[in-house]
Amino acid sequence: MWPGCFLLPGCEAPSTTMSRSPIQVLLVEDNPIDCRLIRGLLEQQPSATFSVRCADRLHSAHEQLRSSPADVVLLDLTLPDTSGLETFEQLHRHHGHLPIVILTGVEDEILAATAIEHGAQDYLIKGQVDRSSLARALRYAIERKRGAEAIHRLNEELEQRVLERTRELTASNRELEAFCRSVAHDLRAPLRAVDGFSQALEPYSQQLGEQGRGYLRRVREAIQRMALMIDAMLKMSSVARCPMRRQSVDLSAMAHQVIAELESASGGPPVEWVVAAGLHTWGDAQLLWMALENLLGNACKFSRHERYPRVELGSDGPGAFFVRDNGVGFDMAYADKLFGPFERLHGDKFEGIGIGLATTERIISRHGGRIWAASVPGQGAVFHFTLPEKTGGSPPRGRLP
Amino acid sequence: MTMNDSLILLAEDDPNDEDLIRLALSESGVHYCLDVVHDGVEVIDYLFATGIHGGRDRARLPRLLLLDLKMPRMNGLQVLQVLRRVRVGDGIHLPPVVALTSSNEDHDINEAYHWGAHSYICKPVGFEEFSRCVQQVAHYWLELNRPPQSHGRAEVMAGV
Repeated sequence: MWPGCFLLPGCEAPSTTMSRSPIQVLLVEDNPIDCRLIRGLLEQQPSATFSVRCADRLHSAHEQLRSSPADVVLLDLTLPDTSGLETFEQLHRHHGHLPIVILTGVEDEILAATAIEHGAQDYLIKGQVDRSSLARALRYAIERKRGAEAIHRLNEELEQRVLERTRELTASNRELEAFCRSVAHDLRAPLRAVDGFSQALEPYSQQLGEQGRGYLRRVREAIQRMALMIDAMLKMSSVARCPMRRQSVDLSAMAHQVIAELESASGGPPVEWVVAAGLHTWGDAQLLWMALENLLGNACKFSRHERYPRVELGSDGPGAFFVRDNGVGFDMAYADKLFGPFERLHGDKFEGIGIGLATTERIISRHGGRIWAASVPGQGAVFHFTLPEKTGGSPPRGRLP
Repeated sequence: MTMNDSLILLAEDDPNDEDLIRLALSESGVHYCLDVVHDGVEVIDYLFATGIHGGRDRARLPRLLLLDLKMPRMNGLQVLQVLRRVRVGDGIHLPPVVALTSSNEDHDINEAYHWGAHSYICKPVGFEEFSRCVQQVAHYWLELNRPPQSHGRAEVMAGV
């Protein structure tokens, strides 16, 4: 009868309902003749499956439903105490779980459509229903309502389950983060021991010979590298979990400060810096400083071997920015590796441990933005990123290559 | 070393770090002698001359406590909490406490100060830096810093 019904738990087949006990109908009708007529139609069903009670006012319908529930309500819209769609709305508001079938003398298609839209199960016209069609309408109304309720319940359960999953995921993420942090911390102690004791071998260097001293030097270089990596891991983890303090940030002014620091630290050929004026965003100044430092520092590092290194910070449009350089660039085949921690596309030709872009990516995504890069080897690289424009705003979606 | 050398109490459970601290101190040029305990319970026993340190000469007071935070039985923060309860007039003179630990976590730093640590130092990984750091601590607390000389010592030095 209702094939879709069997898919829904808690939805029983109509036949079961019929054979179990009579369907309780509350007929809300103020006209005694209509009342008798409709009652007659329903109670003369061959298998006597309906038990009908009557209420002649909406007020008494409420009272009856409160004292003993019904399976379905057959509702006239014109009653002494209310009329029109308001009659349905009032009943529906207080008994939302109950299927309501409207049975009225008003033949009005628009009213009918509105009533169905607002949750009525059916809109029947007096004089146009017979014994079997009325019985069918009521049974279908009950099953339809049951199906709708089951779907509603499932949706709620689903939402609840999604919430629980999200909570679990958040908790396990936090646990994982804490685990990584504690591992990183714990790695420092043995590393300090290796470094310390290899240095304590210094007085014995004569006995070690040339080759032995070379090995020792390599041990210590490896330790320094590992120490840098551990610190970078800890820093990256703190970038991911530190609280955000959002404010209006003048990216142009910040870039000039970052550049001044980079200039004082680097000893390469002078870089031509081009910074667009008036670049603003809304974000955490400390995190954005780190992001700019990484992006501008990288651009500078990878263009240092050029004759005329040039680095540019500009805007692609509202909330969209880029850092472009004319350096070595990278092979786009490896573009997806750029932002992975400890990934390095240029091997040992350039210093660094491959954590800058991973950190930057985390910072941008914490602001709700995205970052991606494009390059042609030998012709420089450009890093595009998006950030919120102003208070509470979200960054533009941005294009992906 | 003589009895006039400044006594440092080191609470450290990692034997590697213990030796590295010894190495660093031996090159510091500071006149010191070093006692080492290996967990929080032992720190308390040492300072109060109880338990396995019951026979200790109470007159010999450490001028500095270097306290690791991550230790078995009782950790460094718990040690600080116990020391915090020592009141003026208890007749126990407590040394300044420098937390010397691997942890760089804001939580540990804040808690350590909250419970009365006088200084907090995160052990650097590289030995050169670590060594320099230990030497500076020893130099500052044993040579530059002037502790109170008589009564009120517990109050001031324990930061109660």
